[in-house]
Amino acid sequence: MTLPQPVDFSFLDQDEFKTKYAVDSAAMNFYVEGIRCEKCVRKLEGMVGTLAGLRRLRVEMGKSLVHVEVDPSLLAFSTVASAIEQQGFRPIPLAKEDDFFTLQRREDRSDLMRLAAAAGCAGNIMTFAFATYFGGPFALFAGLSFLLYLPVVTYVAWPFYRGAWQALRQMRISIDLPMAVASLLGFGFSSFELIQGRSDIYFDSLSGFLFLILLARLVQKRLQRKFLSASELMEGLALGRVRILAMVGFEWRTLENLRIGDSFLVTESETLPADGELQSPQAYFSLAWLSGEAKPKLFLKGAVIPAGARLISPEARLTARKMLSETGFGKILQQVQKFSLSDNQTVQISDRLAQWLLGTVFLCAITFLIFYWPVSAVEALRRAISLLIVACPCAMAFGTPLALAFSLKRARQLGLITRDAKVFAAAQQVKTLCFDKTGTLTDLESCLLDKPAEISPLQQKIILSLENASLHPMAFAFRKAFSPFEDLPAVEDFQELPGVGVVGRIFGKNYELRKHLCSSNETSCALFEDGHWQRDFHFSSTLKPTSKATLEHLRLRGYKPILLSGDRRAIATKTGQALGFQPEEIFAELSPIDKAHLVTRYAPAMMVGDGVNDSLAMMRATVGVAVSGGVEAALKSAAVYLVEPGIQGVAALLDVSETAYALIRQNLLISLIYNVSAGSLALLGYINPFVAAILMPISSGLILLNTWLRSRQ
Amino acid sequence: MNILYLMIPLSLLLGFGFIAGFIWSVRSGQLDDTETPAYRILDEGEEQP
Repeated sequence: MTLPQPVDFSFLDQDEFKTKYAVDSAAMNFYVEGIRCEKCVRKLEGMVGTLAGLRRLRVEMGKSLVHVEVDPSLLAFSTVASAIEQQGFRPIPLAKEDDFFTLQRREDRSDLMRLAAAAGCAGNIMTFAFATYFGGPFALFAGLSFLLYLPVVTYVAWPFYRGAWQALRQMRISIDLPMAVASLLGFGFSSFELIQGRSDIYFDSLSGFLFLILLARLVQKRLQRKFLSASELMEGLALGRVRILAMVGFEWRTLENLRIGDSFLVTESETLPADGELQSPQAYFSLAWLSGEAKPKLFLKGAVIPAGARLISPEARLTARKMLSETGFGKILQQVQKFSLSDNQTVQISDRLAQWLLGTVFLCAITFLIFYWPVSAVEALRRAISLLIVACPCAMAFGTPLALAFSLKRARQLGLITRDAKVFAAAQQVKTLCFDKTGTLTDLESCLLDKPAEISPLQQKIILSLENASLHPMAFAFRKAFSPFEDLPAVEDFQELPGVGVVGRIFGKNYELRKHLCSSNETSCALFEDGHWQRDFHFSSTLKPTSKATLEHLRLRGYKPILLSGDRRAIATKTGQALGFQPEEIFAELSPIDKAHLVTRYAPAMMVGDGVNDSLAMMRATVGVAVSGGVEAALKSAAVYLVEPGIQGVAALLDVSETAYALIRQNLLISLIYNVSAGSLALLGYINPFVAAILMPISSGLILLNTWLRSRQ
Repeated sequence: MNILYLMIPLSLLLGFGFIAGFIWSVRSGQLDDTETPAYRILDEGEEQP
């Protein structure tokens, strides 16, 4: 294993990049992973004295950020970046427009200031209220409370008004509405009482209530951010530049300036920023991001290598064929980065539940107000306000997104890439687990069993040309077995048929490299020339080490695994029995369409298989889990992609979703019981607005605490 | 009870003074990063090994 080469940061000094990355001519922000301790901070910040022209360097550990200010006449940004790298860190320049940290900071600051204003006003109003209980001059303290409540009802409660109004404009009832109504109604009611010279004044409880709600929201926001911090995704930001080959050497360009047909250069351990056709004679790429297989694969000249592949050999020249934003990898990158919890089914369900509950609460309050008004107008108003405050389903609105965020984090730690959080709900319904055999339960990495010496060089060339663009395990096995040729013939009308093989025309003849149509054997294929059989090729295949244990574990947990194979019955039965499948659980000689039918028959079922060949079955399944075939293709049809080889991720997925839903159910139950009981007590007059204002944030706090404690287990 | 007319303005002044101080500290970025300073203080300025 060689040490990684120093990264070339010279691009940072070009004007083109400076306009994109630099905050101003002298400042730039870097995302630096691996700052974990006091020593790291010292190492980095200690550079200020030793690097001439470095004016300021501040580390922000929580966000893994380094702010750099230089004297542009003395020091270039690239030198700073290289110096940071020499200290053993990996700096990634943050583009200005990507700098969501600035937005986050602005939001954090305004949250804190609002909280401070709420705390100050509420605290002082409380002391005044306290003084009146001990016989202080009521009119004076009530008047002061009124004055102090003015900033609360305007500035502090502003986000609630805005949220409630935005939702109302979209014909929805938002969780902000009861707060907004309680704040305004309480203000009006209390002010009226104050003018009348009566003592039913609730400035104290309302301001305290708003303060506690703001506090709970802040905690919820911070926790959610902690769960969803996607540091590993920042890797994608390193793709913002590319070396374009010029007449002499190369020059750095921003990725936006790469055009299709441009020749570009990548060096060791860099990630391909676009789909590219290989110009160098040969190169090794790791497709770990795309296929989960960490082992480097050999590609020959002319092969189109997908964006996201990482170069393992020293350097390679390529011609751009597809821009990053159009490649599957780029789309996945965008999708995963923009991960949104809002279009999630469970959030929608709990949102709908919360809406329904809110509607009920408002209806109850209004009905109560109408019927109780003749008895006592003041009492009717007081109890209605209490109900609005105490029965606000905040806990419900907080709990579910938080629980899901926490589950997503856990899933990511366990090596599951999920398209969205919907999959956790779907995984709860699954009873039958359908497993594909080849590549799922048995190993992807196959070996050609025939001796290369027995195959004529012409046939070898034809096979290599045909398979050059393919990412199928057999294609890799062929490339591994044959020594590379300099002069590979060109292929016309090339086509890859998933689950069948490859076809194309070479030297005017139609060649097919595919499975025999009559015998479906997944560990062999044959070469045909103009439809005439030439010869067979055989491949080895072994069971993945974790398959058996995982299957047993899943059976013990009450799931019913079945084996779906396109392979011959004899081979499928042999593999199936070795893995403990009953004969009636083994289905062999299936076409992709047969598999899809079976998955539908056994619904609700989970389909675990190859991302490409089993895509139909995975789309039909309740949950599709891809174990190979590349992230981009897989996530089109499957909801989950397992990064680690083997099927143990299936058990992890079922675990994570079970934990998530247990937590969500528990949170919903707690808040439902609380809301119904506290709401009834409020209407019966046992809870006045003051008590309500204390009870309600406590329930939200309980939900937050419950979720947080569970997430630490 | 006349002392109240002195105490109330004083307490309010004190209270709002603290709020103003807090808002100033937020605005000047002192609360943006609450993690690193705890480590920075451990730096005794000795030479790196």
